[in-house]
Amino acid sequence: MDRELEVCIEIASSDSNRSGIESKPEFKTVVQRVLTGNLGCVFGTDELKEILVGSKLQLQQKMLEASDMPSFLIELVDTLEGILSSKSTNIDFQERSVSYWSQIMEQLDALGWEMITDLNADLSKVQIELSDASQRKHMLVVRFPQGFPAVPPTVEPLETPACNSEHSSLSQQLNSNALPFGQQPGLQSVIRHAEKQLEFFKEFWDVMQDIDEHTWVIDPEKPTRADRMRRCALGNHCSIQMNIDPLFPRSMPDTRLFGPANSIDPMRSKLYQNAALWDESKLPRENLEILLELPNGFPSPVNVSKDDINIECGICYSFRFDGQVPDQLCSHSKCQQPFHRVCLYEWLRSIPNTRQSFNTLFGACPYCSETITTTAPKQ
Amino acid sequence: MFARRLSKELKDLAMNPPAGVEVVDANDFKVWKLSLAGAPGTLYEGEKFQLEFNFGPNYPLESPQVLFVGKDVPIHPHIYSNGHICLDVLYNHWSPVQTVASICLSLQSMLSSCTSKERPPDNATYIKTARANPKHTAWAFHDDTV
Repeated sequence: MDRELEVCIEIASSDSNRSGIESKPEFKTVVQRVLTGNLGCVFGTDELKEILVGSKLQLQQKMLEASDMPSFLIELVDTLEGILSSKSTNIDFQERSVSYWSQIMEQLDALGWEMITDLNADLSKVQIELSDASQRKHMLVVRFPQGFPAVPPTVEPLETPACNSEHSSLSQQLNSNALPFGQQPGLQSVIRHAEKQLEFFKEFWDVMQDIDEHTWVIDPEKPTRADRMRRCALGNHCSIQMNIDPLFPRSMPDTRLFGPANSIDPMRSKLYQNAALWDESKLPRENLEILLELPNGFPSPVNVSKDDINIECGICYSFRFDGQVPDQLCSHSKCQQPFHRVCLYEWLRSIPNTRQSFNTLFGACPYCSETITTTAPKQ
Repeated sequence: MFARRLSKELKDLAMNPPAGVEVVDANDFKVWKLSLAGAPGTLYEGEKFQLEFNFGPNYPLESPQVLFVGKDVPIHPHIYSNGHICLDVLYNHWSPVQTVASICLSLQSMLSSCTSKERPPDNATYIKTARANPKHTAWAFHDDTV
């Protein structure tokens, strides 16, 4: 068992008679005097004090026997290991009924061991790997409570996108965390339910996977199976954000364009003019390429290097800051320097010749001195 | 907030340092020591000066505190003998576009364009009254020639 506990020692000397709670700045938490003996004092966190509460006399005896502080510390670590390992065995194996073990094993046998990728020593947590029709891996975690089988297990639901359409009873049923454990006990019904979900969202994940493979996704940084939003780079400081509907993944998504106005205005009008060309037999990424008239497609990891896409903020020199990407651009066509909203706002606020109108600041771009505007970042 | 920016600047200084500039000591993101060599063909050829940069928590929104340290402070009409430098971009013309490298270049060019080695005329009174931090001085930038 790996566990880190901080300890501070004070070697006994003539004036070491301070007492009570002391706050030592180098510690993460308030430090308490845990033990006092002939060699000196041991300070530690509340956690340490709690663990050692029953062993104080025993440790004082050990300190008397130890020749110096280092050898006592070795004894202290031994004692801690003893206490902690006996605690874990107590919880794990003695407080559970025989049927807990036999029932879980029966269920796992019925399920088939090849699906199980991880299992706790006390069988309380089972990780099951499922594959959908497109060979994507999905994880399902089932936890068996101590009172199992009287208390039903809990299932961490699969990561699925949230559906906003309230009309679809199917999606509600699929999204719900209340799994049909009551009617049909057993892991197999959980798996069947999960497989239904995988089948239902297959189309959605196919669409998302296509976007992830063929574009530079700026946001989210690490998309999960539940993320419906993607923001993809278009090059020249422009990007498009799309929100795919999990129920109708191939229909035209809500989109938003980001970038300097003179670059995205023509793109926006193309998007509207060509909207009739949307073809649901094609993937949304392919459709957007047609609508936006991108002959070479989206910039993707295949044809564009990361440095051309992740243009860093001109103030903090980083791309991602506090989860934000630099999306405030200087509107001067020769400059187009990107900034994070928060960086630009703080800078404009700090110089005297910036004007403010409500929450909008008008100041000079630090690079080209042309007027640049920004609004206060959301708190 | 801006540790990332300073680490990038440091990397950049190591990769392509401006001529005559050398990082002496940059173990944290608070104080950096750099050395600046006088450019060949100028009055300061063969001389080497020590620069100290102090970064506040608001860098690069606020300028760093920059001064010459050590026994060799360049003798220049805009540099006081206590190491304080009269250079607009270090004070009210600071902008986040400036970097440690660009400051070093500005200083280099300030030294190179000098025609006679002398201290500022008010050096004696200034060093008696100035505070340790040059950013507390109310600077007047009047001379663009040197």
